Amino acid sequence: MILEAKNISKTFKNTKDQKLEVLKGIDLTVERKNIEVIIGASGAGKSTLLYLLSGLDKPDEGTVKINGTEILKLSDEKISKFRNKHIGFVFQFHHLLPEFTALENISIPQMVNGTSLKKASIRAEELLERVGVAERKDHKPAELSGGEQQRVAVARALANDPDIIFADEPSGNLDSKNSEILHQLIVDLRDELNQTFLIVSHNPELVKLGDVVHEIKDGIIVK
Amino acid sequence: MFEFFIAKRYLRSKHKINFITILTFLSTMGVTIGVAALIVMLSVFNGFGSLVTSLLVEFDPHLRVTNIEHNIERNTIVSKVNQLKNVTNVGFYAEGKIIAVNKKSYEILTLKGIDENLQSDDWGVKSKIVSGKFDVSSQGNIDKIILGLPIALRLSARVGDTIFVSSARSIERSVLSLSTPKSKPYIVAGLFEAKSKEYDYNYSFTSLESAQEMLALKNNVTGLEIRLTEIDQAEKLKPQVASIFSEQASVYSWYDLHEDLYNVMMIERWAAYILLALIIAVATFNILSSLTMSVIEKKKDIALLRSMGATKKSVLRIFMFEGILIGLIGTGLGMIIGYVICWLQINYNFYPLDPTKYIVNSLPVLIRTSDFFVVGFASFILTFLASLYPAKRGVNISITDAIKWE
Repeated sequence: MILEAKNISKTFKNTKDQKLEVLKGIDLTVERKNIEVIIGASGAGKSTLLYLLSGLDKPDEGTVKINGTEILKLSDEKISKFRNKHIGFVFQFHHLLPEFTALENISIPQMVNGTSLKKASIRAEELLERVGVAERKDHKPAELSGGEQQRVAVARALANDPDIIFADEPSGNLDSKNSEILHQLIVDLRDELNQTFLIVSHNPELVKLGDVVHEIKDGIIVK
Repeated sequence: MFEFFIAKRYLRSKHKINFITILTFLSTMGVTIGVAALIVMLSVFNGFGSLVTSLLVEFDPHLRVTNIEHNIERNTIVSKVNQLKNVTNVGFYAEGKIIAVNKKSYEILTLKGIDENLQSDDWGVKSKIVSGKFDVSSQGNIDKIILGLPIALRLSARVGDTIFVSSARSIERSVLSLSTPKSKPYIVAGLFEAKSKEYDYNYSFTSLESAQEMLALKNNVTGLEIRLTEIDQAEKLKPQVASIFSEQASVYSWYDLHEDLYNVMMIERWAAYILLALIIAVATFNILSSLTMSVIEKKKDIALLRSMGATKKSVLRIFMFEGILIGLIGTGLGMIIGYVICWLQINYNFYPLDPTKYIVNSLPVLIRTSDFFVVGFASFILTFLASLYPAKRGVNISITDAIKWE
């Protein structure tokens, strides 16, 4: 088991001082080398859960252990360093840094870890090769297609060889052909690199690929 | 350091909102103009300050001792002072008020009797002779006098003329005793022009013995003057000179002699420095606004970097570096422009002064390295402070909000 979350609750306050309880005590485990998918209706709190599990946001209650580390108890600085070394992210809208080339985008997480640009670029090139966009390494995000951008985003998530990759609707913004390429890439990465994925998705094709599927309904995991 | 790598790129790349690019350019230019103006202004102040100091110090001693006891052994004192490091000339002087009369004109002056050893070709009255020569020896029974050029014009006295001099004391005595004041003839041996009104209009020079006799000082002196090899050593030598004399004696350095003037010049310099630093301060407000807008524009990037593991400190550093880079580029350009303007003025005198109105024919400029440090430091601190607020704003951005709502 790589991730263990217990009793995760999250409430949002809306403008009229009313409370909206999105997550009501969620328990969740993720096994190593699995592709696990979280599904649920829009507004069910899937993305919120993903952000809470990755330490990007804090729950009102609950604990999250990744690789045995209780991440919610870490200071801001320590959780940032933990994220850098152990967690990778892929977001729906690619979220690449627009001022930097594909190669630099993949190098930055390594540079955050203290690696030099020169050294980081070597690994970045390998990863670009692996995701099949090596020839586009010197192009900025605006010069890449949606599919290419998302593959660069996957390569960036792999930059520091993380324990787990969190993906929020990774193919939500792609056409069917590019979605298929991306899904195959995720499966290959699991098989070849023993990579673990926790994915929030609506895409039935991607849901089919999941080793385990968790469904959120009314703030709890129903299956 | 990845923060610097990112800050550099942010500064170079074109912003989505064109106005931020324009504002960044304007803030850099603002710092450039402010720094260049400060460098030029400080260099002109240095030029004037150095001109005034050189005019005064070319005439003044570097150290002056007054309130000397009457019964001192003068030769012993001179040899003791001469043994001190950096001393080049030592000599006693006697001075007092006189009235110089020629035909129907008269002028109230200070007659200063000086030791000829105290004079040199490159400083003092000897170096400022414009007509005749420096000669205070006696010609027969008649002593010689050196007058300031404007005084000679007022008295209509030329070199070689004889004028009559009475001491203020003898006039006072004659008024009390209802007798004619005693006056003594002097031959005008030379005219000097120190380009300082204080000296040119008030001083006349003769030999020490002649002044002692005219001022009825018997064998007493007013003080001792010392010239050094290096002007900067004056303050250091003051206590050593004072230890040679009794406690009553007062020792003044060249700075003490015109302390008020130097202080006024210093206050003027500081006031101008602070006022011109305001130009940089205004320019840094532009940095503040352009960086604040840049932080708003880069909200998503900040969230993304945080998700990749960048700490709050790193985000702070990225925007601090961006602001400091704007400041450094502006300061560097300003220093270069300021230096070039000063260099052009020194070498090509593109801002001349009318020599009939001023004592110099060009605006005096003196470049000092220390000014570049002072201006650079002020600019850096102001830029740093201006970057602090936007950078802190960047730190407090909510990661999830920025990612969710894009």
